[in-house]
Amino acid sequence: MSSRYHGFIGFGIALLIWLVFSMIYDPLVVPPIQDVAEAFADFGYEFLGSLGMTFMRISIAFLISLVLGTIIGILIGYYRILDTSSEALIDFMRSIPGITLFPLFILLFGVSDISRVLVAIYVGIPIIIINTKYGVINSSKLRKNMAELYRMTRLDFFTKVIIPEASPYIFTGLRIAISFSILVIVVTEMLLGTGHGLGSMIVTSQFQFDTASMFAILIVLGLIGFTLNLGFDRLEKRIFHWR
Amino acid sequence: MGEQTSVIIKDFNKVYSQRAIFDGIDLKIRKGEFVCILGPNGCGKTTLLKAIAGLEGHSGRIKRNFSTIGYVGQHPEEMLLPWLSVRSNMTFPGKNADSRIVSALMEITKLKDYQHNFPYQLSGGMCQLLLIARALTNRSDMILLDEPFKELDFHMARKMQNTVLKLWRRYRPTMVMISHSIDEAIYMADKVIILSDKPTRVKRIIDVNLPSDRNHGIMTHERFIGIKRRILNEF
Repeated sequence: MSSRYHGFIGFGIALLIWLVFSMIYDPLVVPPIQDVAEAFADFGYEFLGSLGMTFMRISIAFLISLVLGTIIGILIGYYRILDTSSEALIDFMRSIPGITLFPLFILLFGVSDISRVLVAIYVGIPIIIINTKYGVINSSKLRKNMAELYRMTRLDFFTKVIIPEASPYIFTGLRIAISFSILVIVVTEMLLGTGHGLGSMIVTSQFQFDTASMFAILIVLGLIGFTLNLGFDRLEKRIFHWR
Repeated sequence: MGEQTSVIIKDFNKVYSQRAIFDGIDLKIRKGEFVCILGPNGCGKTTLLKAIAGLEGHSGRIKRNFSTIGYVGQHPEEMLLPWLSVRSNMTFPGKNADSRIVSALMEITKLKDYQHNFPYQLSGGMCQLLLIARALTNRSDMILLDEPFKELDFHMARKMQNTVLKLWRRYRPTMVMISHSIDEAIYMADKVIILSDKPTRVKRIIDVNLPSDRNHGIMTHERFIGIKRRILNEF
């Protein structure tokens, strides 16, 4: 069997375990596979609206984290003084579990998307900053020297040398950050439901003992993460052809 | 500093592991001159070249009277940008690249066939060629070459030596080259600086009084052999 199909073995085993558990437990706790499939088929506009809302919140949080995290990471990685003056603060801030700041953001911005997105940004930014910083620090001294010798403009120096050098690290940061963005957004949707969002739908399904729908949403979340990871993988191979 | 001088080095030294490498180097390199530095392994030739480029900390003084530098180092793969094509690497950073020189060098080096490829798709020798070509296309007024032809085969090395000489005669940048080949040093340079073993000092400066328009046939000439004998006597 070709190695590309090996991934299906894991999925096969997981399905088998699910099948066994669904036979042991009450269907209200572990629903049978066919019930979940039916729940999928019954998903209507409400689900699509929730999916869209969750996706939008994740995208906004991720894009803001990406832009700010990359810029700050590059500056911190390049200018030693910025690194030494911010290192302790960043370490301190990322030690506070981001989700615990949700109540504070609610006090500041109300139960709104702003609060949810801000928590996701708070969690995502340090990951991107730290990875980007190390990408810049570890970039080839020889190439930096060479850029200096050729008296490149600051813009050219960063866009043609530093950013491409650091990009594999930046990419690793982005991959981790997007996983955390999904996690944080869904959890904040679960904490205070707005009626829209996959997290909110999971809680509602649980309250209504509709575990089949709950499982279906969990699978959708898994698929979102899986697809994004696959996309990142493909993009990485395409962009970093020299590695 | 006189307008005719490109670099003045005074009492140059460098300390590695609490040990001074040099015995105070004093040197003067005139504008438009082609200087070749010869010396035993580990005597600090590369350190001196990097210091001229401003890439190496040192004691003593180096006065520089040039605006742009082309540098051909010993690690071509690392000095090239693997994410840029061969052509983009050659014209990098682009602002001074002369399109006529780019086209000519593409032909001479046979890099034209690989211009859309990436450096990692080239052999070590081809990368070295690309690096030399980059230093020449940017019309730098100071070109520093650290054993630039050592990775090239005999024919390509000779071809590139002639190309470098041709471009030097045409645009007259100041050239400082490190070599381990006495023949290459005499053929290329109009001044050969011989460094001693550690603690390194300038042992001898030999003027190469050969016609500037040379070809490799000159290596059999009596004057060439005479200069070679004088250099050999210093080792």
